[in-house]
Amino acid sequence: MKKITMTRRIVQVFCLILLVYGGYIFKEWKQSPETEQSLFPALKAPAGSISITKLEKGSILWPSGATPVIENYPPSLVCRFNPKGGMFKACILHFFSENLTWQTQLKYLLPYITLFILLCFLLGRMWCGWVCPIGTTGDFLTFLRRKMNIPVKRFPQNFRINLSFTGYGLMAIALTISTIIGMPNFARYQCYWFLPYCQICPARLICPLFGLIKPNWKDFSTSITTTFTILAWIVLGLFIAAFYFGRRVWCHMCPVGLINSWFNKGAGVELHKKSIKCIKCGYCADACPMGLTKMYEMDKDGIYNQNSCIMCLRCVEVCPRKGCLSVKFFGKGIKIKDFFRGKNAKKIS
Amino acid sequence: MQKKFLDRYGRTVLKGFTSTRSIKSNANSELLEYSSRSKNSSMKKFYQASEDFETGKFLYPEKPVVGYFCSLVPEELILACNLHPVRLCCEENFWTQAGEEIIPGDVCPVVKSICGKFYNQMYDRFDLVVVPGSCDPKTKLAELLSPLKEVYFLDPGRDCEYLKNADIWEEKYTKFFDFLKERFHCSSGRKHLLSACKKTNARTEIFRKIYQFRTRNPEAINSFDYYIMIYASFFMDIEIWNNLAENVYREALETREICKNPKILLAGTPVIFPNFKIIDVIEQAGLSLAADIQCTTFGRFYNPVEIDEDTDSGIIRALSLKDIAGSICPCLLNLEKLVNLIVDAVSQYNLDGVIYYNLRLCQVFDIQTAVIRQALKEKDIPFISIKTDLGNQDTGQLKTRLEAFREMIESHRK
Ligand code: SF4
Ligand code: SF4
Ligand code: SF4
Repeated sequence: MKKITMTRRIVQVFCLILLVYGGYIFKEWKQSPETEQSLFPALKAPAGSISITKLEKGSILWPSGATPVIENYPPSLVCRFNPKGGMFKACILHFFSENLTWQTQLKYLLPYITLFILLCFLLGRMWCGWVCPIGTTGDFLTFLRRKMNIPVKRFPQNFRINLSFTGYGLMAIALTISTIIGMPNFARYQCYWFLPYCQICPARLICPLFGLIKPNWKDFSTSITTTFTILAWIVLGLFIAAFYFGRRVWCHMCPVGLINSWFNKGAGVELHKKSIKCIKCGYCADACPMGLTKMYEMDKDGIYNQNSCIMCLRCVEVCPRKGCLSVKFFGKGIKIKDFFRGKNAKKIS
Repeated sequence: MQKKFLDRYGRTVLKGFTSTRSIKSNANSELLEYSSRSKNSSMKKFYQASEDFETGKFLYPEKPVVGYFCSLVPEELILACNLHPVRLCCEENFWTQAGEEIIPGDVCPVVKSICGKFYNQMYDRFDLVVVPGSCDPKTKLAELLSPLKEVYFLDPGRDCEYLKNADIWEEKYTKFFDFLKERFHCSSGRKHLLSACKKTNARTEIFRKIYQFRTRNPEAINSFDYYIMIYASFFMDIEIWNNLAENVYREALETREICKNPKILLAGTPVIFPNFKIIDVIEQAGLSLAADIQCTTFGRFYNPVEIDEDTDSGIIRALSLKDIAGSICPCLLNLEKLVNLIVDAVSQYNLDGVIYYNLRLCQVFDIQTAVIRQALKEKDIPFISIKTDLGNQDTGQLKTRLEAFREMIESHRK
């Protein structure tokens, strides 16, 4: 394995442990469910609205055996379904859905949103390539597929674009429902429709497993929960298939990834191409887990950050021509290759 | 291929053919001369191996031997089946004349000399010959050789655009691999492919070191040594070659010299032993060949196999990308890439000029000349194109031209 990928794998595993089991590691930070004190009080659910503790234990949104999590919102947080409260709770989509329902005032949200935007501005969609536990799980499935010698399925461009439209559609529906049930007239629907996307997200069934807790996988109590549960199963199936047969196909429709992707162009992490060096070998396009081809096709010098790029830097790594593709941070070379390759620099030209 | 047809008419060609095998080519005396010029004692083994190969004394390992032409044939697949790959490209005046008898007329001299060698039973040890359909004469060569040997025709197509063709290449290479597996009764899989790729990647690594070193110090491994090394890689066992080349490199590192001659880049037709006329003339004219962009050297060795998906099909795909998409073969649609490579190498290695070498009767190299000339003119890089054949008649004239070129470079430098 090459150095960048190796580093990435280490970071991914580290982040997976930190995000999923952080709650166990940093025990002293854990809050008791009764007092329901948040580390960031600004985001406490307003009185009268549905909040985590008010949901019955065992409901869809609350895997049995789990305790409340610390409410904490760095950008793109990990899932609410993490047992024992991962150190961080919930993804950015969760953040928006929840606060739209709670109708939290903007000034309370501002610090979190600013932090989110700042990090996105610096790192672009690096979250996806390096941190996201779902992405890491998916990469593991891909690894299994490779070990079983099953060839990768390469989906056509159109299909992938359609996937991202699906993702945007789901996101729009989820946010609209969240807004509607936040209105006083519709508050009674909150117990069923709260966080609609989370109820069908594959993480609902996957994340509890990390803590060896049984996910809430068969809630057939009402027609609505039945629908959600069935949808969740379908989405999970799609999710596993997407990761198993292709690489990161799921990430084209993941709403969290889509939100992050808005910041990719113009992010601090820049991918540069010097096209005179390019020999059009196609290594970069072939290795890209998102199936992007711009770095291959580009015929001029400059930045090739793309929306769907998960900043895994695989393209930079595989390019056989030194100086052709490179990573820079705000235009400054970070010499990532020299740093990793040391004196055995494999790429001489 | 239509075996019956070829059996009938091909054998007739064979019958009318008078073997010239008794006459000896003078390749060996040339070898002796070149090896005496070498300053690198580790080179001896390469010279020895080349001599053995020329005289037919070369000891192959106890494996079936598969001959192939061009960088478009994936050596790794042959290695993975535990076969011994030998690249058969040959540019030798002696054999070209022998080949005249089979293909007279204005035909590519390389194909002629290959035919000459085959029809004189020089390659009897071979079990299979893989011929790519890279250019027209090669395509016909597949038919001309089939009465003598089992031939596999591998046509990668002429378009090296990755997006359009990657699947097709993968399919063609897979078919080739399946054929090899069936023909030689082996059940090679991922493990073998990976280990073959590891070997060629090790070769790439050592080749890059040497290539890079020569751009700074072309005299320590002179161009004869360099091309003999390349020639030896055609038929030597890859691991042995790697070790020997590593020794040559280590020794060269110690003998630092400063090169005062103008450094030039040689592009165009590959220089293959014993056709060393061009590099001989370059040396005589007081120029140093510091880098080259040719399919036997740069095109074949420079890119490592970059395995992304380590499944069977993924590895085969990676091989096809290395050999076809990254190829600098003039038969494919990649002129822009070639021009970029030349311009980039000149600026990166501080070279003084470019010589474009062009074997007479090879149209594809010829056609490119004008574009390369224009591109280099725009960048203000001295350029000369040389068109010649395998004979030695025009040596004096070439030398005069190159001397004039050197003077031009020197005045350009000021
Ligand atoms: S797109 Fe979604 S699932 Fe994929 S890595 Fe990004 S956040 Fe994770
Ligand atoms: S473009 Fe490069 S960095 Fe972005 S996802 Fe593809 S391989 Fe990774
Ligand atoms: S890997 Fe590098 S040289 Fe190859 S096509 Fe991509 S950018 Fe060009």
